[in-house]
Amino acid sequence: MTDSRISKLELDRFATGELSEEEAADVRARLDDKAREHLVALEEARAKVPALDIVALRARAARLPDDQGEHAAPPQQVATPPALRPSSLAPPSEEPAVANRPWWVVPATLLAMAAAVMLTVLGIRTIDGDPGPDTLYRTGDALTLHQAANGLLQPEPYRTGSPLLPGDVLGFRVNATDRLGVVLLSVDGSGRVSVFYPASGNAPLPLSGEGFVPIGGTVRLDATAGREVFVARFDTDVSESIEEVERTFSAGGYDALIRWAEETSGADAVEITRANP
Amino acid sequence: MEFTDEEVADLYDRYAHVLFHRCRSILRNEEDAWDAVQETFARVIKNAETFRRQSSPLTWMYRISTNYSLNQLRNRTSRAATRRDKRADIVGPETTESGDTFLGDHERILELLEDADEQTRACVVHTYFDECTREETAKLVGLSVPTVRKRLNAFLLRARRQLGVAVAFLAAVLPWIRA
Repeated sequence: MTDSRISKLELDRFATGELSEEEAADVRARLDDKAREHLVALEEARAKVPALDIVALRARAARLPDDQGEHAAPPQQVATPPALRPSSLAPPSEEPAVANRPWWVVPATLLAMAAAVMLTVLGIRTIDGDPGPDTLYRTGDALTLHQAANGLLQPEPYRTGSPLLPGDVLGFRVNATDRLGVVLLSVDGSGRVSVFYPASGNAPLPLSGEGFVPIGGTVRLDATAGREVFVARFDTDVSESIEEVERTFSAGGYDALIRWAEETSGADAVEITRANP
Repeated sequence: MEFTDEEVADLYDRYAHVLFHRCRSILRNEEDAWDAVQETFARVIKNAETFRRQSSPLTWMYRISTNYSLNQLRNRTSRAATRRDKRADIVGPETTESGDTFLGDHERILELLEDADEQTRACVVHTYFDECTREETAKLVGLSVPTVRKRLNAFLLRARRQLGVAVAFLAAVLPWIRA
């Protein structure tokens, strides 16, 4: 659809002199009453802006954590992905994949019965305080991660903030609306692809209900550090899901995997960063 | 290389009023808008090297101020809900605050964004408040154009289920979202 509207971003860039001569001339040619009103409003706003207090501003900047603002930068170039290790999924006729997984998947019923004791013994770490607005992590529109907090059986949605550590516990919810099944996989910091759900077999984990539903059980993080991308692949069998993830990751790494999941209607991805203390 | 005081002053003179106007349109509060402008410039100073590499400094600032403003809104909504709950405990649920007003579509849409992820919120803000094209939104958020479309459509789907008025309004002013 052809659109000659000028966005506020373009007008703001015009007003601040960021446009080239050619671009500025094009904007001038397309100015309409609404655009002119916006430019007038900008000048009126100038009168409301207080004088610069450079001392206070530098003091505020000094209080910012070191990683604040960096993630507002444009996306990084895709790094050469590490060599993929073979998937941890065993063929359906062999032992269940759970036996080969590096993480410990706990059935939801056992976890509910022993939650208080487990949390105390395992020393689950909570993330304190409000997460910063510059985020390392995404919650997708079909897959969300939830972090179990101390003493809480209701895990909190995992939004933003500092890296996850060994021992942290994650749960998952997926959007089950109009979907029949899901395969949940991840590519960890070593490039290894692991399947978490279903526990065995090639058929996806069945889904029922509407909206976001938990897919049962939790995982406790091991010591593998670095980026990790969790992928939910809907209505596709396990072997095909693995093949798609491995192919996409080997072609372009974590960023390519996330882009693929964003652009694929039957997939979603959430990235986390894991560190060792 | 850090910014000198003169460089900061030049940037402030060039961009502060634009950012203030924009943040005020999102936050509907001059004090909060000014705080968002301060935060944005603080991050410019903190990340001088990154900022210097930007082909469009304003686009970078848009991204910073959007995230910060939306988080301020979320905190504000959370505090308001707590105040309403506490007041109801005192005076009872049938009494309404004198300042209660019928929420306009602006506030409704911002409330709907509470449950959305950061990138979806940014897509909606850039599309709805900034009237950006999909291409501009994609560049601001760091997503592809198809993904922006996917995020906006997912948001509209949720909005349709929760608040038909907001969707009707969005659909009326932004018909090309559905394209």
